[in-house]
Amino acid sequence: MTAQSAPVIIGVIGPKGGVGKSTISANLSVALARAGARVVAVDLDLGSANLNVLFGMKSVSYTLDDFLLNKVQNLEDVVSPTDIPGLSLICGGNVPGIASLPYQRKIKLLRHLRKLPCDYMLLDLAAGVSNNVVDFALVATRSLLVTTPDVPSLMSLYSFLKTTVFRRMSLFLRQAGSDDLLDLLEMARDVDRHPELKSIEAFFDQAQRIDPELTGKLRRINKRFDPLTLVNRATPAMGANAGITINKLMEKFLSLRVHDILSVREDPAVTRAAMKLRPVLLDEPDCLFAKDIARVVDVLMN
Amino acid sequence: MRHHVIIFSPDFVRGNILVRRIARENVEVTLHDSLAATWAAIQDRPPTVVVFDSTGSMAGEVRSLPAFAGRLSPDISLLVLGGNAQDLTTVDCACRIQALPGVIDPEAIATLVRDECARETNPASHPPAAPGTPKQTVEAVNLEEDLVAFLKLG
Repeated sequence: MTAQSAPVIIGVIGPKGGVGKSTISANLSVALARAGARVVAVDLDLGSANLNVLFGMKSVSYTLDDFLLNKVQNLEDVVSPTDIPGLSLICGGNVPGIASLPYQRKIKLLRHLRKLPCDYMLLDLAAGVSNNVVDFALVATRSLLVTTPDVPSLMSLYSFLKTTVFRRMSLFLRQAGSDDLLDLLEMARDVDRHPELKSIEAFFDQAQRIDPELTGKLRRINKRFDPLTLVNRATPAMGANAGITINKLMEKFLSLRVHDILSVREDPAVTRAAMKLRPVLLDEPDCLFAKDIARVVDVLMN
Repeated sequence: MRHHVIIFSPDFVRGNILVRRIARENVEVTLHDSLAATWAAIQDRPPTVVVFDSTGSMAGEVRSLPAFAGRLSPDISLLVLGGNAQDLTTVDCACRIQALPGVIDPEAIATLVRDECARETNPASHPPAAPGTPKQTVEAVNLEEDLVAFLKLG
């Protein structure tokens, strides 16, 4: 890959807070850099940023806030090198209110992110299903959805996927100016009042009767959203079960393509490294967690 | 007496990797590359765990997996490896099934085998079977039911 080519953008998304998303982001960044790639990890958990903490970086000259508040002109000015060859970091800031990013600033940020000279860019996104998170996820080349195998986390994951599917179709239909299909999509959001539209396939069936051509495009757009799911802190059996379940729901109700589930095992080495403010891959490179991260990197790179 | 583990894998290399790793759990392991030979071995000496490597299996072998699982007795655990493992949520069988979709991971498989052998050694750890209900033990089913209910997808 050359400096001129656009980076592969990997959105690391943890719809439920506390599932280990930033730990996964930090260590994936390290693993990709160690594989010889130029990597920029971007802390997009706006207002609650802490990716720098996982690298033990206590003070940095500039953060993403400085760019978003126009204190610096170029995004490259807020890129901080780390002591890991090939890996740089854009630290997030914590200015109150920065999480509610106006549309124009979001577009400006996305435009500048795409121009950064690197091979891989990891976006460490905030928890929740806000439009900001969904939009950053939609621009990513690959979305990596991090969950734990428990019901609340899997529910959040499903809700995020559903929100993303609806936002993508809604943006397209607004551009296409199809009020009829937008109305139908609005009805499909309300499962209580319109249980007949609880699956995307059921929505497509009804949309087909209104506008077959646009419906065909919607189907193709939906297929292009191609997320990978990573079950964190899982025993092999729990990870597999969570994977089977979420894949089934994704296919059945959201008509999404599914992939083999990635699973990262619970490992006390992660806690030990966090106490030392270092990515576990640096501290205990042979631990279970490191082996699982290596498999994730293999999937992402291939 | 040492626990007995039977592996079905049509891939000689993958199968032998599994044999070597699982044997380190102080269990006796045998490898078979056909379903007929695997079934004969099971009948000859019922194992604690059967590992079914669906990656690289022929379509017919994969299609016969539900029937294969259905013939296993309740005290046998079946571990299904590979992408086809995801098709197991509707299998009605007496044995305990666990699926490991995705890339083959000998460490994870060995951990599961160890856990299953420990369960077998300590029968109190077996969950009681519900009389009169289908003997389906794929744990994903309960999780799916919970999610479908909470997400109002039912």
